[in-house]
Amino acid sequence: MSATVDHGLAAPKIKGALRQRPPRGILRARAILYGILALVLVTVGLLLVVSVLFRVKGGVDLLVEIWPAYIVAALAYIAPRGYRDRKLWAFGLSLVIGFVLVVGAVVMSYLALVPGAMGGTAAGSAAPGASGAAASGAAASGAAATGAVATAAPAGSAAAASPLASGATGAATTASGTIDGNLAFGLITLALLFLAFGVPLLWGLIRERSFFLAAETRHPIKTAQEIEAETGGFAEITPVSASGSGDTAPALGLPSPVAIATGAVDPLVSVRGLKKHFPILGGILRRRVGTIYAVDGVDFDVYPGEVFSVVGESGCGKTTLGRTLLQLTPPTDGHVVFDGYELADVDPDDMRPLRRRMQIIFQDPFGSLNPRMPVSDIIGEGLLAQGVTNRKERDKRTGDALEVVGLRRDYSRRYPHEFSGGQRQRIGVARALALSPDFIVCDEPVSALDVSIQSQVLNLLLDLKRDFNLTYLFISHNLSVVEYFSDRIAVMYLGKIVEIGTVDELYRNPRHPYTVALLSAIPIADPRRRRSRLVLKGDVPSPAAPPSGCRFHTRCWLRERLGNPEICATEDPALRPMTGDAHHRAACHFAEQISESAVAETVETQDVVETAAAVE
Amino acid sequence: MTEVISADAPRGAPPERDILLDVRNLKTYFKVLDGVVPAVDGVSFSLRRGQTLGIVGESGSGKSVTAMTIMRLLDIPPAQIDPASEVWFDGREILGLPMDQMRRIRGNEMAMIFQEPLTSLNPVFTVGDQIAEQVALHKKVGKKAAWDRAIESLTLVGIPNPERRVKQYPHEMSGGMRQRVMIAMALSCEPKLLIADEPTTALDVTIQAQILELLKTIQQRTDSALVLITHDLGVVAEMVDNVIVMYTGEVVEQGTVEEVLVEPRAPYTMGLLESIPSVEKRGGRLSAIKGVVPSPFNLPPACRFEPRCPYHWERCRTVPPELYLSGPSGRRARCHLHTPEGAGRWPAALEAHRRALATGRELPVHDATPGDA
Amino acid sequence: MTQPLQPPTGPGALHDDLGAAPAPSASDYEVSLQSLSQWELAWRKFRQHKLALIGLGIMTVLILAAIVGPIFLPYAFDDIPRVDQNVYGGRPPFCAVYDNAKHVCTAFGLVHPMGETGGLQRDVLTLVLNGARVSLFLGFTSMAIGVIIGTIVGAIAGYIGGFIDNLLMRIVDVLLSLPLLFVILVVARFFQNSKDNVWAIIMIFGLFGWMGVSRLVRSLFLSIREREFVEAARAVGVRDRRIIFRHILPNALSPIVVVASLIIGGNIIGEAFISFLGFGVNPAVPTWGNILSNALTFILVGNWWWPLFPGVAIILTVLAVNFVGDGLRDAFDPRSRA
Repeated sequence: MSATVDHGLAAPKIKGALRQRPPRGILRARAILYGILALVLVTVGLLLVVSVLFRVKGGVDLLVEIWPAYIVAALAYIAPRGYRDRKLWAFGLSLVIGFVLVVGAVVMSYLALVPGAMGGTAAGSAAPGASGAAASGAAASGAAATGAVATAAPAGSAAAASPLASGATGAATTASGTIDGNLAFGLITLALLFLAFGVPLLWGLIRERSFFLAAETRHPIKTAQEIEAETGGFAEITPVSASGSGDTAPALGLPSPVAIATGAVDPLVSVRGLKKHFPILGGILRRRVGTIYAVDGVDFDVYPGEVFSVVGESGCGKTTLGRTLLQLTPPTDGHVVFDGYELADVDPDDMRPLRRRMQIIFQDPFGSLNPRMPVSDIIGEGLLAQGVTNRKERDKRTGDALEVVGLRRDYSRRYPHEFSGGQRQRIGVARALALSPDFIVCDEPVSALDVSIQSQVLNLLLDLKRDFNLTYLFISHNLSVVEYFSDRIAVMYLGKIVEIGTVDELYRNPRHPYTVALLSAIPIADPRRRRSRLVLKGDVPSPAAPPSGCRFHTRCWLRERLGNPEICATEDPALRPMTGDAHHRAACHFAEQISESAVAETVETQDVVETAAAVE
Repeated sequence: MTEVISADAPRGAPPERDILLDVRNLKTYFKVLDGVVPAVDGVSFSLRRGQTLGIVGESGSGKSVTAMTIMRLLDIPPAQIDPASEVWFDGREILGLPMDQMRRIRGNEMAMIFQEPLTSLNPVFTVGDQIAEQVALHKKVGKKAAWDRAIESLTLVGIPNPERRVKQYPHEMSGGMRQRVMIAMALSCEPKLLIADEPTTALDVTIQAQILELLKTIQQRTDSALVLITHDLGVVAEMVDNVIVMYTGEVVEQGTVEEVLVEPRAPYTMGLLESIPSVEKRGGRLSAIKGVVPSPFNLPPACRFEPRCPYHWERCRTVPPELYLSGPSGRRARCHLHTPEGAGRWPAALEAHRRALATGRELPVHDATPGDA
Repeated sequence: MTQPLQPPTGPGALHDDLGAAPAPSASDYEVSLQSLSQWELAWRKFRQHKLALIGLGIMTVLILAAIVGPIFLPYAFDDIPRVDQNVYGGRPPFCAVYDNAKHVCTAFGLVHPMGETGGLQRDVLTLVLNGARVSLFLGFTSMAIGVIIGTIVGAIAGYIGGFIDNLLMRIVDVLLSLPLLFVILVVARFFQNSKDNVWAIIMIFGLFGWMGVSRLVRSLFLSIREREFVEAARAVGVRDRRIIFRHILPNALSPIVVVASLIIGGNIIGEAFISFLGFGVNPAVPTWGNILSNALTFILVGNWWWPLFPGVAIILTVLAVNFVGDGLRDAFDPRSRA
C-alpha cells in the first residue's frame, strides 16, 4: 500500500490476499508447452493418417518409435495444471523440462558443429535425454526413412515449419552414420528452437519461485471458495411484487461525513495511484513508439450505497478507469481494493467470485449484447460462469432478472436485434443484476439512448439501487444527468482527477476552472434562461502527449485572466482540500481566484469565433 | 413573429417572397423487406429568410430523413417520395427539379452540416482542395480565387493559421476543428439555407459549446437561414426561433421556441420536458414517458403516441388527431386535447404537467391501458 | 454489502415505465411480432438474391445428380461397352447411329444424351456424373480441411495475440510467399503413382489453402475481441475457451462461410488444372479434370462433346458456388439489414 498520504485518503483495510496470476514468463512457458503438445499431436496424427491411408509399411513401428513424444505430450498436459494449483512438483517437473531442453540444444549444437562427434551416437535419438528433440526428430527421421511418406514434411510445415522439415532432411542422412551439411543444419535449427523454448521457460520458472515466496508472506491467502463463503454465497434475486406506491424516494446513499471521517464506514472500493498506459505500436517490428496516458494516477474511495460519478470529455480516461478498476484490462500501476481484497493480478479462478460482485453496464446497448445469442443465454452466461450449471435454475433466474428490469419473462427466447435501444439497455442491466452484485460500474448507460428512454433507465437504476443495496460508479459526460443522479462526483481531465466533491459543493461552488467551463457548457432546455457561455479554447490535447505542469493550462481561461503565470506550465498541481470542506478537493494552483464575477468578466470579453485552438 | 409556420398555403402556388423554404405535406417512405416504413409522414413547415428552425425528435422520428429529402440526398429506391409532396425553396419547387439543376442548388444555395465530421470529409484530399473544389464548381471562379475563398471561409469559422490549415488533411485535425471545417465548407458559397443535422452530437461538451456559439454568431453575421436538427432540447432552446417536434414521422407540435418549450401543448413534448433530469428532482424519480417508440411496421391505428400517453381516452384510439390550432399565431399541436371534445380534459393535463415539472413525480395515469386491467 | 441480498421490499414501481408489461395487450407496440434469429434473417435476405438462389439450385441439382446418378445409369464409368468395335471417333450427343466415314449422325436417340467418347467409347454422361462425385467431394472436403486449420490458427493468433500471434502469422507469411502452384505440382508429383490418391490431392489443397482463411479469422478475432459483448462476457467471469467458441466464433462465422464457399470453387478449378496437367488424381479415377485431360487428344478429331460437358460442369459449379458466396455475403452484411 502506498503509505504516502498526499492524496489525503486513508490506506484501505486489507482482509486477505488472493492467489495471483502467474507472471508473464510462466504464462508464456505454458503456451510453449501447449505448442509442443500440439506439434506432437499433429505429427502423430498425420503419421497415423498417412500410414493407414497409403498402407505404408512400418507406420505402426513409427508410432512406437516416437515414444518420447508421448512423454513430452503428457508432461505438457500435466505441468500447466500443476502450476494453476501452485504445486511444487509441477514446478520441479517444469524445471526439469526446461533444463532438458536447454541441455539438448547445447548437445545438438555440439554434435552439429564439432566434426566427428556424431560417431558414437545412434541416429534418431541424436540428443540423448532431450525428449522434445527426440520427439520431433525421431518422428521425422522415421517418416523419411520409410520413404513414401514425404507428406509429413509439408504437413508438418503447416504446424511448425522448420523442425520437421529440417529434421527429416537431416535424419535421412544419419542412417549412414556420417554427418554432412544437411544434418548439421537440421540440428542447429532444432537447437535454436529448443533454446527459444527452454530459456523463457526456465526464466519464467525462476520468476515463479520468487512469486511463490512473495505470495506467502503478505496476507493470508484466500481461495475462491473461502471468499464465496464469506460473502454468504450467490444469492438469488427476487422479482418485485407489483404493489405499493412510488412515494418512498430513495434516500441519498452517501454515508454521513462524520461516519467517513471517523472511519466508521469502510469504503467498498478504494483506488490508489491507479495508472493505465497503452503503448502506441508502430513500424513493421511493432515497436513501442509512444504511450497513451489514459489514466495517470487516480485516487478515490467509493462508499457502500453511494453513487460516485466520474465526469469528463472523451479521451479523459473515464471509460478506461472503469475497465481498469474491474480488472478487465490490467492496470499499469496502482492498487484497487474491493471490499478488502486487492485486485492486482489475481488468478482468474479466484477472481471469479469477485467478478460476480462487481458488474458493469455498458454504454452501447447495441454492441454490448452478443447478436448471435438469445437473451436467455446472454444473461445466463454469467450464471453459468458462476457455477449455476442447472439449465432450469438458470432459466428461472434469467426470467427473474428480466422481470426485475421491467421486461417480460417470455422475451428470453428472443434475440437482441428485436429490441429497441432502451430495452437492450435493460437487458444489459439484467445481465449485471442476475449475478446479484454489490457494485456496478455504469459506463455511460444512458448516453446512447433517446431522451424519453433515458429517464426510464435512470429510474430503473435508482430503483435497483434502493432494492438491492447497490453501489454505483457512474461514468458520464452528461452533467445534468450526473447532477441529478449522483452523490459525489470526480471530474477527470486527461487521465487525472481535477476536482472531487459532493454534488452540492461541486455544482454550487466549483473550484477548478475546467469544472466551471463544463458546467457553463450545459445547454438548458429553457429559452428564458438563454445566456452566454464560458467557451473553452481548443480541443482536449492528445493523452499521448499531455501538456506539462497542469494538464489544463493550455485551455485554461483562469490562467489567461491571471496573466499566464509560469507555475501552471511547470508544476503539476496537487489535488488539495478546499477551505471549508476537507472532502472537496481541486487540483488548481489558483483555485481561490475563481469567483462568479471572474467568470462573468471572462464571458464578457471572450471571442467565441476565435476558440478553435488552444495555446500551442 | 406572426404566423411563421404556415401549414396550409394553396397547393401548387409559390409561397410569398419572404419565405425561403416551404415544405408542404412531405411524405417519404422506405420500402424494405418487412414492409413500408413511413419515415416522414405528412410534414409541413416554412422558414423565413434569416431565421432559424429547430426540428426536434428522437431517433426514428424522421427528422434526418426530412432534411435528406429536402436536400434530395436519398437513394430512390429504397426511398420513395410521395408525388403530392412539395418543397419550395427560394421560389422554386425543388422536388421536381432535374438532378443537374438540383446539384447546382445543393452546396451552393443550400448546404448541409453532418453529424460526423470525420466521415463527411474525404480523407485523401486536403481541406483546402475540398472547399475550393466546391467553390470553383458553383461560383465558376478560377483556381486561385477558389483557394482564396477557402482560406477566407476557414478564417470566418475562427480557425487559426488558415493559410497553413488549408493544406492539411482531415485526419491531421481534431474533432472540433473538423466540424469547423465542415461549417466553413458549407458557408463557402454563402448559402441562403444551412441545414445542420445533429452538428454537435458527436462532440464533447466543451467543443459543443464552441460550435454552437460559432454557429449562432456566424448565422447572425451571414444572415442565412438555419434548420437545426437535434434531439437535444437544450441545444434547441439556445439556438432557434421556431421549433417543430416530430414523433414517428409526424409533426406533433410547432410554434416559437418560447411557446413550445415553456408552454408545451402536445403530450409528447410535455413528457420530454418533464423527463429532463434536473437538480430539483434529486432524490425523487424522474417522470418518464412510459413504453418505447412503436415499431414503424406496427404503428398504433389512430394517435401514434396514444399507447404512451398519460392523458389518452377512447377517442385517441379511434380518430387520428390532426395538427390542431392550440394557441395564438399559428401554434399547433397534434392532440385531441385541443379539440372541443378534449377541451374539458386539458386543464387537468396541464396541472399534471406543471406538477411533474416541478417535483419530478410520476404522472398520474388517467385510465388504464386495455389488457392492463 | 457483504450480506446476502434481501428480497426487495420497496414499492413495485418498476413496471410503470414500461406500460403493460406482464400481459400482452392491444397496446403492445414494443417488439416486432415475429421472432427471427440472425440466421433466419440472413436466409430471408438470401432469398431476395436471385442469382444466389439459382446458384443454390444448381448446386443442389449437381450434388443430387452426383449422388444418385451413377446408381441409376446403365453403365459403370469404367465400362468399355463395345470392346469389339473400335469406333475411333465416338458419337455426338443424342446420336444413335453415327457414320464415321461421312461424319454425320444418321439416326438420333436418347441412348447417350451427352454423346460417347472417342477411343474407348464411354458414355460421357456417366463420366461427368462420376466425375462430379469425385470433383465435388474433393472441392468440399479440401475446403473443410483448409477452413478448419485456418480457423484454428487464426483464432489462436487473434485471441492470444502477442508472441504466438507473431509466430503464427510469420509462418503464414512464409507459406504465402511460396509459389504455391509449383509447390502443389511438386508435392502432387509424389503421389501421382499411388493408386487411390484422391485423399492425397484433398490433403494438398487443404494443407495449402488455409492461409487466407487464417488471416481472415485472425483479423475477425482481433476486432470482435474488442467488442463490448466480449468484454461483458469477461466481466461476468466467462472462461477464455468459452469466449472463443461461444462468443467470438459465431460472430465470425458469416465471413468464414462466404470465404469457404469461394474456396470450393477455387479448389475444383485447381484440381481440374493439375489433373489436366497430369499431376493430379490418378487418371483411372474419373474427375472433371481427368476427363478433360483424356479428351485432349480427341479434340482435333472433332470430338467437341467430350471436353464440352465436363468443362460446362466445372464452369456451372464454380459459377454456382460464387453466386451462393455472393448471396451469403449480402445476406450477412449488416449494412444492408433493411
